[in-house]
Amino acid sequence: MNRGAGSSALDDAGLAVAAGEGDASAFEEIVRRHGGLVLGLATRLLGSRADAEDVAQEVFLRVHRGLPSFRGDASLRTWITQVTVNAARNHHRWSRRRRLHLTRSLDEPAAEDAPAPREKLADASAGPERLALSAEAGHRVEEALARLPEEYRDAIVLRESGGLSYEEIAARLGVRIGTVKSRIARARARLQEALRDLVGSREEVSP
Amino acid sequence: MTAPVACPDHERLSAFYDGELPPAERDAIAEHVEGCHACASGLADLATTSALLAGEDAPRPGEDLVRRLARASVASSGSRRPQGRWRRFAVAASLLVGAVLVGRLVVMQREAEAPSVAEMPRPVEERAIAGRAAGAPTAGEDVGFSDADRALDDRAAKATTRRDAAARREAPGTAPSEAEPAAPAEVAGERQAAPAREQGARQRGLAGARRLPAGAPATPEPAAEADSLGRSQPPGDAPASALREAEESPSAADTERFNEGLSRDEHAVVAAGQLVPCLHGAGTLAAETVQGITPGLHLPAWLWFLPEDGVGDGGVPTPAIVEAEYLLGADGSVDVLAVSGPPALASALGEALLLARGEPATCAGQPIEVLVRAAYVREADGWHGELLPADGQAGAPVEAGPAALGDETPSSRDR
Repeated sequence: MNRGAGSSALDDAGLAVAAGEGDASAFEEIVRRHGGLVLGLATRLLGSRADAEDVAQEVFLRVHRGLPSFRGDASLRTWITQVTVNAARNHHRWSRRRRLHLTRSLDEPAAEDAPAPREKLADASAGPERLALSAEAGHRVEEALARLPEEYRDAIVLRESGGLSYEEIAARLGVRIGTVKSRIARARARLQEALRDLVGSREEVSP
Repeated sequence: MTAPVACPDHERLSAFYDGELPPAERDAIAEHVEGCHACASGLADLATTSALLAGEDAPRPGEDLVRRLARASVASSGSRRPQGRWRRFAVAASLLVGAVLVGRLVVMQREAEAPSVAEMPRPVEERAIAGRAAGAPTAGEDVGFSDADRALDDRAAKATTRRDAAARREAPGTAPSEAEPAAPAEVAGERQAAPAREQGARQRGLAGARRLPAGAPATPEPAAEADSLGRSQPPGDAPASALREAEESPSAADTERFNEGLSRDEHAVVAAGQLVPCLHGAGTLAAETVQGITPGLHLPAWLWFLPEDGVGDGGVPTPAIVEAEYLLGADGSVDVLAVSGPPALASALGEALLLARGEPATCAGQPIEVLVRAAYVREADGWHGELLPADGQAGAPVEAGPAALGDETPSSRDR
């Protein structure tokens, strides 16, 4: 508790040690740092935010229990991801996953009519608890999206922003599902490449 | 199915992330990711990328959610809250008592036609076991225990009834328990040394337990049953008739009650037990504390849990064994050391946990034996309690059957 002020300054490894030793504020910081990852991932895997919150509860419970033995052979982020996948897989919803609710209607403009994809993306998932992207990072994301080949961009926007299934995207774009799958994957790979410092290993960076 | 699978390429991982893979492939990748740091990291990157595209700096939950999650975890994990720890242990211990009773009842029913069990000598031992399983409840912490105990007695009786009913249905040759081991065995084969033994014990346990009603051998400790019944039945109530009574009404509601009785805490313990072998090999789980136990003891123990959908993909409910070793700290804390179990645990989150605690291996220089191991099995018609063979025969052929079951009764501690 008295270390609370310092928790947010610790890197993940330091947090893991402190939390493993019972520092509640360090654990809270872990939840703060990685809760979004857990929720985001679980939401994708289970298709429902409510189920994702269930899973998040389970995940952090396990993390809390597991921290004393966490040996850092994987990063905290990686470990938490694994716990999340496992918890999702064991969730009763796993085998009868519902697709994410569409966040926009199929009647809305298709990707080719959407000139400002990033704005739409931000809109589509904006919620009270979202933390706005810094202006600079936002600009870079926009730029990275803009540099994508159009067919990749259409696919990833429909997926990320529209929450459409591959099948729906395929119908929308008039391509095969396999093509959608590959375009989305490639779009992601390129975005990750362009935004590498923002995407990966965030746990190494002290805020 | 738990064999090391090649890492999925980026496209497959991406499709996995989107939930766009067929179930079998999805399961396989999930399982892989749980053990592969590189793929897990890639998956985390996908989630972060989504967050960036959504205009978030990093995926972050709201503050209120953070606090809620953090508090809930700390509270129910309870690794630093002796009260929670004790309570959870009490639940586990009461489950153990319940399991002991289940075992007794199984044997009992077999002997129902024989001399009334109620007339058998009073067993001092059974009480000792129950007492030890419960530990020494400290002031204010034993509140729920006796209730849980009674409830378990009740459940145990019903579970046993159903189990026997199931066993009878499973006429020779048709028993799912005999046909099923294929999947788990294959799993065990893929793994290192210990699990094979556990696997053997598990199969033997199941087969043996199911064989019980058909087999004849009496338990070496018939006396103990009388006591367990004495504890669970009103005086004068003939155990056999009680069993028959229960047999008449194994309703869906009973099953429901039984399931409901398995608390979230137990579920969570199961999750933790399963987490360690999956992600870290052997490790130390968050400390659990039992108050009132002499510090400095080693407690060999077994965590049993029942996978929700059977071990692995078999779909046949099978109890899995996690072997654990406890180290009692001077402050009364209990660390769970060296947890190991079949790899199938990685894919099997149990809905029930039975912590069948072995007694301390040594206590003030006195060797102490494992008392009993048991598990519940969920089958189509409900939950069934199983009493499993003692560790001494682990690895012995399945043929051990009823005799082995007799052996593992609490009386075996003087072995």
